Amino acid sequence: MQTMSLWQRILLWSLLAGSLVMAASLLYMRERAERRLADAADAYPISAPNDAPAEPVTLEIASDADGSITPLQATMTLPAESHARVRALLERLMDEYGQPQSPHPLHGGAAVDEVFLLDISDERGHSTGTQMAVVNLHGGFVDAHPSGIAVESLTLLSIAATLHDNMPGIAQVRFLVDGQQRDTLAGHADLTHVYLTSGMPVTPPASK
Amino acid sequence: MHSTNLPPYPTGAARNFFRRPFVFFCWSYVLLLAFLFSSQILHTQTRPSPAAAFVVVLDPAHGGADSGAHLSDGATEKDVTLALANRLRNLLEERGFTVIMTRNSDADLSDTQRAALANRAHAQACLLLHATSSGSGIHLFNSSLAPADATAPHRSFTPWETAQAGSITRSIALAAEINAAFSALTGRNAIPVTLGRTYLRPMDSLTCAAVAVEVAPLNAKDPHDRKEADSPDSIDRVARTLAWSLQQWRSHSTGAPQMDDSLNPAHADAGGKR
Ligand SMILES: [Zn+2]
Repeated sequence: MQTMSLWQRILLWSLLAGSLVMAASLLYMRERAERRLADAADAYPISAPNDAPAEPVTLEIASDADGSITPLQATMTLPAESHARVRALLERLMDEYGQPQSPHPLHGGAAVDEVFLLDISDERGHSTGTQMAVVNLHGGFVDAHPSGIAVESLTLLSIAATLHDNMPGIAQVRFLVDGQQRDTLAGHADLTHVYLTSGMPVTPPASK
Repeated sequence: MHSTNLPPYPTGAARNFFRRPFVFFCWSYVLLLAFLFSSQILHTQTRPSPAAAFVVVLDPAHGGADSGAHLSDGATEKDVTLALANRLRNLLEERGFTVIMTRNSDADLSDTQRAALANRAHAQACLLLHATSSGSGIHLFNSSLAPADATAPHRSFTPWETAQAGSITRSIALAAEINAAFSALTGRNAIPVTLGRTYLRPMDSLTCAAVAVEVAPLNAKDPHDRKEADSPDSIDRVARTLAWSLQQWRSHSTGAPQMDDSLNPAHADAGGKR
């Protein structure tokens, strides 16, 4: 093997040093991006900026006693981003059900993990201008949900009707639990169906 | 010569036959029986007589490892639905119904097995029985499926998952019949009724007129008089009112008048227990 000239040695060492600097900076950038993503995920849905103005919203509140759903007017600050708006709205609805005197008591803790909005297209692939909300529920909330046809159906109808009132572009809702499809909410209401937000077939109780 | 000695066969035989009244009587009797028998077969094949079996399927929901809801008093839904189904079956069989139960014991049937059993029975009514601690009174549910388009082609194939769509109009009529029976209870016997629609298995796969009946505490608003769905009083009152509504359903379906009035909720003593 021939001995390298001075210039060749300088070139080799500077290339090695350069690659080390590049590796270090790549590692640093990757860590910074991860931190930023994690921060964004933490801040993403829960709280709206305090300086955002409070908006009027309609919450469709279920009542177990008579199987009805009644609109309740409220005001709340909503994030600008649409996924975050839906999630904040549903969290507000579920807060109502967590109150001690709730007409439809649900005490399973945080209900909504994540909401995805998908454009609905027709058979030819053209956008219909409407969206499907995919609501990913927390497994803990679902496991603690009371069991019964009426009580489970009311939860789903209340969510669908509240979305319809406040985001009319959402025409369909689909429910996942911890990211997976589940057969039923708590043994009854079928979660494999897509629920339509309009024309929900709720009949008031028979008059006596 | 031989031919003249022989008796003239046909006329002679016929004469002999008709000359014997006993043989003639026997043959006529056999022919009459054969005619009656064949006409009876034709009759039963073409249209059922009014007294033909009126089949009701009762599906006590849950069972086995699937306990269903846990009631406030510790009872499990699967036991309550079976007790209610047994009581209702007795009342219906006493009144001439043919009752088919999807389960008679603590068996864990799949939704597909339940639907297959019910659909094979060609029942005129299917009741899916549930119990819960949430809400109050009786919750009646029909399927959320939209009615099947009767004019659509290829109606010979019915998708299993949505078979109920073809019977939804009759199912809603059956729910109205049950609602009317419970609404006729007044005073201390009054039981509030809630009507709704939902996606529920195996109801969506049933081809019969189908209603899910969920029994909640009958008097949930009064903590001193709250009766869980498994209380003997609740099971008895609900079973009797359901049996009456099915008697009415049979009467309206077949056109036969309702002769037995013993379960009529309008006759319930307003001051006390039925
Ligand atoms: Zn049940």
